[in-house]
Amino acid sequence: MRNIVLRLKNIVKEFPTSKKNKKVHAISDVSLVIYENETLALVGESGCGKSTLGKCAIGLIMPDSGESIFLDENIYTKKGNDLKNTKKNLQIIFQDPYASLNPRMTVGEIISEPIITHNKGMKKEEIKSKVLELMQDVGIRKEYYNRYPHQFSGGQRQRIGIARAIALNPKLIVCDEPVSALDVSIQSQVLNLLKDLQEKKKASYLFISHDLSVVNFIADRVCVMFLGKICEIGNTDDIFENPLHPYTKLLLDAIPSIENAGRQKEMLKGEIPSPIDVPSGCRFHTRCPHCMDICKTDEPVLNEKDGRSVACHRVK
Amino acid sequence: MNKKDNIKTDPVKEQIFGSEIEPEESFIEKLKNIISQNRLAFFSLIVIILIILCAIFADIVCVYNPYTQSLKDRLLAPSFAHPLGTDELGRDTLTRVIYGARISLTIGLIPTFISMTIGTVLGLIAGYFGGKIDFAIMRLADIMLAFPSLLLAMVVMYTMGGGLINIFIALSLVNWASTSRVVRSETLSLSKKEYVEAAKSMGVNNATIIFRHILPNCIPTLVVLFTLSIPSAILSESSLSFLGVGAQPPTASWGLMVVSAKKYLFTQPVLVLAPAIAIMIVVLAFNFLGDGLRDVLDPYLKEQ
Amino acid sequence: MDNILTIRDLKVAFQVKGKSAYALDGIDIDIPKGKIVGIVGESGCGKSMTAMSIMGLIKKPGKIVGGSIDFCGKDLTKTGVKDYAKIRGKEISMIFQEPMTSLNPVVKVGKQVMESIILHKNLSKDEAKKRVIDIFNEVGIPEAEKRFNSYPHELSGGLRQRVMIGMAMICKPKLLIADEPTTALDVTIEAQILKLMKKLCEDNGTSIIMITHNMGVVAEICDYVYVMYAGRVVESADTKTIFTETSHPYTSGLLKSIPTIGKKQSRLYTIKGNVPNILNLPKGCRFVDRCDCAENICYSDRPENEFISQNHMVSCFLKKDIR
Repeated sequence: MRNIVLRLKNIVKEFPTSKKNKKVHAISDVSLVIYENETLALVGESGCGKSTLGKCAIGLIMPDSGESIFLDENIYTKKGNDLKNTKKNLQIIFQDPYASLNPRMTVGEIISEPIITHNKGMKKEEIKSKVLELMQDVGIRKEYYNRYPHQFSGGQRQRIGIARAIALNPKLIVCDEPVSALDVSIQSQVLNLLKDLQEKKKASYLFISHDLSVVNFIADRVCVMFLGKICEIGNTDDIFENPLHPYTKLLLDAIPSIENAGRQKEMLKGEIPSPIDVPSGCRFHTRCPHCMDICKTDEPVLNEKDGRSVACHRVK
Repeated sequence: MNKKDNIKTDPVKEQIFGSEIEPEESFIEKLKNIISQNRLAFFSLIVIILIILCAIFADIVCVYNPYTQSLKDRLLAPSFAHPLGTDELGRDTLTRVIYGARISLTIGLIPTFISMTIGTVLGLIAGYFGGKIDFAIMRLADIMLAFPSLLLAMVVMYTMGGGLINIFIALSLVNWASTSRVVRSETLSLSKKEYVEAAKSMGVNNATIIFRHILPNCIPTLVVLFTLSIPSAILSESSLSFLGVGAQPPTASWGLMVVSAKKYLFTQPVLVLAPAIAIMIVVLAFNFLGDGLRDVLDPYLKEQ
Repeated sequence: MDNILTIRDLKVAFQVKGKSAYALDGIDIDIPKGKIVGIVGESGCGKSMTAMSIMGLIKKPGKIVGGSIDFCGKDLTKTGVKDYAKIRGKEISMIFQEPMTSLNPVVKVGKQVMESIILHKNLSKDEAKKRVIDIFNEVGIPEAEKRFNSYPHELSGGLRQRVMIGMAMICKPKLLIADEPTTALDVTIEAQILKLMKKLCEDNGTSIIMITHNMGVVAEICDYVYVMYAGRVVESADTKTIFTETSHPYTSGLLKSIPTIGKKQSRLYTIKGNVPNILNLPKGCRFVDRCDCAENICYSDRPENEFISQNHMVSCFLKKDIR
């Protein structure tokens, strides 16, 4: 059995709306585990709560209830130095390489910030040599140590963000759509880099993405979310070859692909329901082509079988 | 073949990821660009520097003493000896305008600086921590803003008496509220930025986040606000002096000079015009400088 | 084949620091009637610039400095501002990537769509409203009459894009330019919008220029493809040919760098380097610094556009199938 890095237990997060009594149900009772040195992908359409869940996992957003257990301890109850030491192991890479770097700090200052924060009293030369090593790891030339972020292209900024995230050798990195703002040719460079770094640093990734082809490339396991709930979790190959949940099937089918262009598709009906007025029963039933009566009233539970979990009344 | 080999082994070309970074402009080149794009602001800066230099070295620049009265030279018309004439006590107007710059600029700079510091600290705290602290600070600011500022300053001056230090206190108390509002809203939007989130996820403490990530990004706004507040402070001083609660005679202050010369508005207009035009030039120069700085300091504008 | 739009040797230049930078450097594009033509490339390759030139919306300091855009017998590069106003929105219309920024947030969507038709067709308000509701039904907006009175922020991203398409289609234009219309949308909504666009093209005989960076989208709905790189068309062919007989190293690089579902890859192919700065282009072929199979001639000479079969143009010295 592989070691577990992070275990999320019954996470619930709701956001208030301008109207009283109405809340955005961002995440409703989600539990999952992330193993050592693996990439778990969170996929789903916008508004399904995948980014919120990723930020909850590392304590950047505090959920309303639930636990995030890192090394047998709930990170939400930690305080002070204890919390700081835990955060060292939980890092994040953001989607927007333009907003995630402070425009008034040089590349060197940005990458050295986590090192300085966690190694008080480290010598300046030591920090600099460490930063230069990190820059080399992510493919930014040393000469750019004193440059400012606005002088770089999107792909290079994303590399700087990655260097900052791996600086403390974290156990888990949440990658929040790290390549969706990049061009195709730059995207493949960054994906390769993330894969190489994982091999080198032995970190786990919680990889949040809406692009299933990227997920297929990088992930070991995939977790499909719909409206704040998990539909299906399983190994990447299993999910892509044999999706069990109707939503996963439709999602895979919707990807415009070169190989199967022009085939007749089963279209997903309608729009995503609002997370404020969540449908009763199975949250997917309003769009599901195989909806049964029970789906409208009872919420399906996530059943595990052979390392694969599905929440659907049709799959038993 | 040779050529191709050369290109392939060129370390710069081989560098896979580093290509196409914009070349660093030299400092002088940058300066040239900035000046050529903001001529008016640059001109204003020179004017301000000249005025400041005159004020500092007034003892050297001026031939006359601003306080020495000479009743035989009362109300002289502009001449070679007295380029702007003399006032009702025979003092040289030009000398008094130059000495007046000392008072006006000190009052423009120091209370503005104090009020901005107070406003910035309170605004940062209110915006970053939110909740009850935010509520308390902002209501206090609202109360300050609800008072007519000149009236408030007058109340302070009447209770504490005239004098330079009291003007500082009065003007500082009056002006911090608007700064704190601006800084608060800036802080609110900056603390939602991803680089702030990234710092939080690293475990960087709040004080460091505020001083490293939020304050430096407020500075362009603050600099602009600072240059734009200086004129209003100068004008307030003039108004207070005009109303008799500011600088006290025989001190040479622009506001005071306008007051004492108002009797001679029609017989000797230059006496009123000289300090008034001085006020106008300084106020305009700071305004133009503020506008120029706003364009230069915005890193997002530079990106495009 | 009837071409509704023919672009020949179009050049658009920008004056930067006293130098002319060619954002478009002699491109040839044909848009046949009733077909969907894809223009693909990375950011900065000039695909949006092409759209802007057709719409006559190039902003200063940019300028069309050469070539022609022939639209139904009219040369658009010589069309004045007044005549353009009659063409834009009526005969050529455009939809954008982010529908929220192209809609006025304080005006009801129905009213915004109506404005365009009242401007071009001289209809009364009631007639216009009827037409708008018809077009809303046609583009698949549920409860069209209710949606007529909605504000943009009340609609989801997919519905907003449908409103934009409705607005673009209401005057039955001959040509629709879609600039990354599905990039901001989720895959399931993207599939719906692509299907809708294909249907509109078939039903109304409208030609569509589909500007995108997504090869999957191209494969899904386009009939012809133009691949652009650094202001030039490097390869063009019908969709099937481009995927089966890829002939330009850039096209094949783009195709290889997309992860494929159902194929286990340990690493992705990468095109090395970045898109070049148009002020500082290589002397020979523009792609030479990033090309895996560059030869001596590629560094010194510029490749010509060459037809290697009917409809298949490629601009590369290595014309053999290199895939």
